[in-house]
Amino acid sequence: MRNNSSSKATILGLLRAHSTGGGATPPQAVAASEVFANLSQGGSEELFEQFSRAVTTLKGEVHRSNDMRAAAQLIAKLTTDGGISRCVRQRAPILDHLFQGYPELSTLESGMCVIDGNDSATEIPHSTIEQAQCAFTTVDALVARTGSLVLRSTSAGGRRLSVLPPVHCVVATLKQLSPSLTPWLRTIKDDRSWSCSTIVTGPSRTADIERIIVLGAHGPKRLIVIVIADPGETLN
Amino acid sequence: MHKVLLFVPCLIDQLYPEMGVALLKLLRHFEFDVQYRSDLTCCGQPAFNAGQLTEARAVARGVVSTLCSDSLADTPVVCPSGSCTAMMRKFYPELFHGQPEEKASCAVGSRILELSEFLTRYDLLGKLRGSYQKRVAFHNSCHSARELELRTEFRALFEGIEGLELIDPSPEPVCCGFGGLFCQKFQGISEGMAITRLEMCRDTQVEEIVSNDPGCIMHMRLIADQQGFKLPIRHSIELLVDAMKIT
Amino acid sequence: MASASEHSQFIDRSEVKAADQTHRKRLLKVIASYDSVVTNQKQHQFHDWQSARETAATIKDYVLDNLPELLEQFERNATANGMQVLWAKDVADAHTLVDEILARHNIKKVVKSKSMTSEELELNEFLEHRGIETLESDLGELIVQLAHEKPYHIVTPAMHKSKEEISEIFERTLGCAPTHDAEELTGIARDHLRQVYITADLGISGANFLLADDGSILILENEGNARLTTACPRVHLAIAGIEKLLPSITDLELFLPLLATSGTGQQMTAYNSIIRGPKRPHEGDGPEVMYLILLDNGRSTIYSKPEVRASLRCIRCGACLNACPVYKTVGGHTYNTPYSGPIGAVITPHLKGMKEWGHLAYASSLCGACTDVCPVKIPLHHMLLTNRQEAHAETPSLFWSSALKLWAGAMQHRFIVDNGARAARLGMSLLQLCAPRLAKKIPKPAARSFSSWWRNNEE
Repeated sequence: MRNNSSSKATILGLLRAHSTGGGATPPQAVAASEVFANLSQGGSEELFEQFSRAVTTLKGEVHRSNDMRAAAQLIAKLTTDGGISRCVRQRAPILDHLFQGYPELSTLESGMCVIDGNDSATEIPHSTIEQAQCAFTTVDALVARTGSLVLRSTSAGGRRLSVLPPVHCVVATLKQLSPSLTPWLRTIKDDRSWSCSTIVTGPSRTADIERIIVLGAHGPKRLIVIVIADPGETLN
Repeated sequence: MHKVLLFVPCLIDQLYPEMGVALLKLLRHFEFDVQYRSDLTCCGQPAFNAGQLTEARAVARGVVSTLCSDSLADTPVVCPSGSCTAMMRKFYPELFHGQPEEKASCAVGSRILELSEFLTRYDLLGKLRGSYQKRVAFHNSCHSARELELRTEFRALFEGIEGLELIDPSPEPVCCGFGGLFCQKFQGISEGMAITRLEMCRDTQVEEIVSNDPGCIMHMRLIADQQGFKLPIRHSIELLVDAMKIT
Repeated sequence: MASASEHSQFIDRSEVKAADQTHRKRLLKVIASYDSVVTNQKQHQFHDWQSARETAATIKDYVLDNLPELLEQFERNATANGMQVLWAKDVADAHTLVDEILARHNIKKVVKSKSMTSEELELNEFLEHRGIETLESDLGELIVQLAHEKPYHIVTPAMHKSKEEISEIFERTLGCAPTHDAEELTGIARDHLRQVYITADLGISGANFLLADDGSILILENEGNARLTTACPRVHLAIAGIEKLLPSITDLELFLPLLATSGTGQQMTAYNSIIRGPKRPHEGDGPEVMYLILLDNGRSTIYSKPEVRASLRCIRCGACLNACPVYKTVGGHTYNTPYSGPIGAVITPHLKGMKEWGHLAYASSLCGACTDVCPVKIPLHHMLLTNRQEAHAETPSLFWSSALKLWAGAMQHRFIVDNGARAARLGMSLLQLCAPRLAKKIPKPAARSFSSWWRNNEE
């Protein structure tokens, strides 16, 4: 851009004239345990309880399935009950295994649009995602303290998949539970391949009208999290 | 007999001398040798809040000089106003920063005690016994609560008063809208703030409002009168003297 | 203060709003509901809210102490991510940059997510003048845009609007059927925006934080409109103040819950997006190009003044607005500035001129509620005091300057005070006779001052 470097020099010059630091050591990284009253110190069962409570309080839905078969049956039921037949999903080992491996989901899979967030060649028309009734994605982790899901554009089917359709259904495992956000923040910092990462905490909402909470403002109205206790050898 | 200097805020001096007299009576009841200096007219806050430091210093200098004079040098000072106390304790050091009076002003500030601080310091809270059969709202002044950090101390003043139902109209202090010259410069806003605060008090079904700052009292009385709130508003010292039947 | 036109307009607007019972009651109700959730959230989520604020203030002070270095670190890392970092000294500079982006990418239609910096730049008007169709996607911003109003509040732009008023606005501008149901109204906005996300050429967003070590921006929201604004259009432009930095992506562990708690009483907002740049070659979706404008626009002026520098810690949560009894009496529009409430009163005179805007510092009782609630411990009400000192030094009000000079002279002499009071009592009696209504507005001096009582009784 034409005049940009002179503006930069001007601004930095003005700041430098009054700057006191430079070379100071940054404050220590904040330890979640020191700050938060509600950080769980427990194992995966306590973490699951805390996560589940947090998501449910936010009007999200949490289901626990013992294994992949149970998860498949659950998805079949949820989609039937919800009148959902037109779906999009992300390409990922656990989802591939689930949707391709169980007859309960064969109908759903036959109408499924599959997206690979890491493969620009499979660029999907916006309308396909827009018109989908439900999106299935994996997540990087489940944050127990806040009931959050954390995902990367490269590992969750891109930016739009988890936000456009009215229902977002997440398939995760018990092992993915984390007490706080910090471990994931460190992980994604070291991964230089993604362009957009998102922390999702509950369904989309607004309180802009008289502070009345309405779900599904622009993002999904329903957030469903399926936590599989034992996804099997190959997927652990 | 302990000596104590009575600092009479300008609003009490000119508008509500009866509050000063009440405090005098209470102090004498507790056998204090009360000193008063008529040249202590004002702490200088109106000019300080207007950003006019020269004028504020002109007035405050006199206060510092009187309080540092030989006869008063070690005498504690009691002040029935959170805002004056805050001005002298917290803002005099800032006002006199880099000035010859800097050291003296810091020393002065630490000697000034707001009424409830004074009564606490001299272990008199337990001796505040009396009776007052009313439901009363306490309006804590913003300066007392936030500058002096006296958020809940007012309760202790009234614990020994039988029959008194003391109500705190809000969990956090809420400004009455006085703000010194603010009430003259922005009358509409100031009135609106007072109405909000008076409504908050009235909604707790109290018979009276008591406060620790003459500025708040003046402002709320004016607006209560204009707006038809039938709520007497007094200073804590007046209620105490009344309840304790000190004459 | 000089008698500037903004000052007298402020007084006029404030008088109208202060007398408007309906407005006041609505505002108090909305803010009371905010107060209760925030109080609960502070206790629920934080061991010690006070110490969390202290930590946050320390981190932000580190940022300010090292601002030039951190800005350069951020720019290096962001550029490596594919983000094009641009620097704007002021509004004109920013407009020039936007013009270049519009031309380079043949932009005809813009979708926006909430951005207070874009309000500083009056960007919507700027784009409209260039014939570019611009639509706000945040529900509150959309409502005020369709109503041709400015945002009322930093966080909740349509806080002052009732369901009935919103329905009327939607009926008039979007041609839909009337409804007083919040869910239906939200659905109307959602449906309207659906097509806009993909037909817009450019998505403009703000940024709540800039992460120096990662070279990314953080956008915090509840609705999902910012995610869509930054995912769908082929060009993404973010605009952020130069002070929005955090040293590290790991600081989000504290700052996301801190901002959510103070801003809306939530533990976390629904969506927090960390954006490094446009889509990578291997990614399936996202903008092709991303720009970030780092905006100075007076922040370096604030930076140069030690007494107000700490106001640059601000994370734009809006808590000070909600705590301020002045804001709660007159509402956001009275200020006529993008940033209203206490933070607005502190920074606006330094961003836009003390002469025109100094009155904002005086429009306060200095109650200190703002300082109490600020999650990064900005001593806001003390800054209003120092603003007043600067205003008096730069553009003194002739009236108050003289009045207080006289007053100071009088207060140094007891005999003047008491005799002046005598004269005032006389004046009051006369006033009571001729103008009893006016007399009611002035407190009556006592028959005798305390000092004269003491002289008579004690000496």
